[in-house]
Amino acid sequence: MSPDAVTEFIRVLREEADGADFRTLSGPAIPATTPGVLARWRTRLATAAAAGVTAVAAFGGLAYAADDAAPGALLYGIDRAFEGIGIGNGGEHERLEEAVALAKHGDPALGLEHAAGVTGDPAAQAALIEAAERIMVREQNQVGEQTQTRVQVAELLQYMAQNAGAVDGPTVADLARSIGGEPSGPPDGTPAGPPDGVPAGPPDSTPGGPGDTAPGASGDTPAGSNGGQGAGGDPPQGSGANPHGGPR
Amino acid sequence: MTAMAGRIEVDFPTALANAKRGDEAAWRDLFQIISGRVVGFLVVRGMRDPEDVAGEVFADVVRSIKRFHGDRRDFLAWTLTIAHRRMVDAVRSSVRRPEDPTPADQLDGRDPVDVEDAALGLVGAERARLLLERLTPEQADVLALRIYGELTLPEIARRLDKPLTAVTSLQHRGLEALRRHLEAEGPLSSE
Repeated sequence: MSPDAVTEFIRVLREEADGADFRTLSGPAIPATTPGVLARWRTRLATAAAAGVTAVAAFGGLAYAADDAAPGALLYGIDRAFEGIGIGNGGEHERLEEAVALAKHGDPALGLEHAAGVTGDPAAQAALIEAAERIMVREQNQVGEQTQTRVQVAELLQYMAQNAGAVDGPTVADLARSIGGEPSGPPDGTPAGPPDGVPAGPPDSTPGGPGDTAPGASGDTPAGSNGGQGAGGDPPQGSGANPHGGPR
Repeated sequence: MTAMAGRIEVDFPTALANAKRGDEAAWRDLFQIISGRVVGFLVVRGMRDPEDVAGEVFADVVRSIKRFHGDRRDFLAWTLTIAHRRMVDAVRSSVRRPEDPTPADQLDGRDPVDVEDAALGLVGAERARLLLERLTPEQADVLALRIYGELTLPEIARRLDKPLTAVTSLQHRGLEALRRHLEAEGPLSSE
């Protein structure tokens, strides 16, 4: 497998940024930092380190994630959503299989996000992503009915997989909107009927991602992705935008 | 684990709690998390004075930290939201002050200058800036906020005050364009 160019791009940029050290720019803000020559040297050292990382990522980027075997595992360590937006190496079918696998492995929200990219229909994408957000919120709040949610996700992904290449955006949007919201009957006109025996995610299968023990996993937890609660206070000098507004 | 080799290991909840009490070491930890991301974001978005703007962002963070609640990702997203606002402010004020030698279009039109100076050593970010210049500014905003701030699409939609569908579409098109350029030009660090 070769890393997708965009994924690699993002990885390099993040590694570079994380390897750099610009804390001295906070000089007046922080009670005390190490100013002057020493700090500048530190910045330069960090820069050199970042350049090393860049080179490594470019020429041996796979080493970074090569030992992550599970489909979608790469997502956990890099960015849950970015990779899932349809710019992958694999074709649409492969991506949807990955999405199904993610859902089965106990992360239906990520599965939905992962699936969002295969449709070029913005409304369908948005509905998928919103469904994923709802699931995250529910799981965060320990709201029940997770089993039903997972069945719904599995059905949706199954539909998409069966219709790979000709996924109908409005249908996907409809299905996605029924997920994780108010309990309601199954959507009408469920297309290409997902059979009863859909592979609903076995609840006991542990998430396959490397995020379990990894540092920085906080960014990967469902809790982190709902801006409404997580973003805490309004950023300073809030200029209008309502940070807790609804998702649309 | 190798996949996490680049992550900065900071006990975030502890650092946050201590920083709120004014603990200096804790602040260094917090800034270790965000400082490169903020500067990288500003470089990628073509700010002429990334250091100055970053300083303002950091000051905002310090001033407002007591109102922040969340985890590391939230902190990153929150900070980059501030950075975005500061960037917009900086561009507006430079437009208002014509005596400023900076042209008004610097968001995406900075002259090519010495990379080391311009990007503060962030070579990848400098290259990324040149690539994102070929996208629309809105696409570039969405991608930069996602890359450096790890904002979710709904968060970006709120920040940019746009419908989620619009932001989704911006991202989709931006990524497609980015991939085309990347495939045409080779990997990020090939220069």
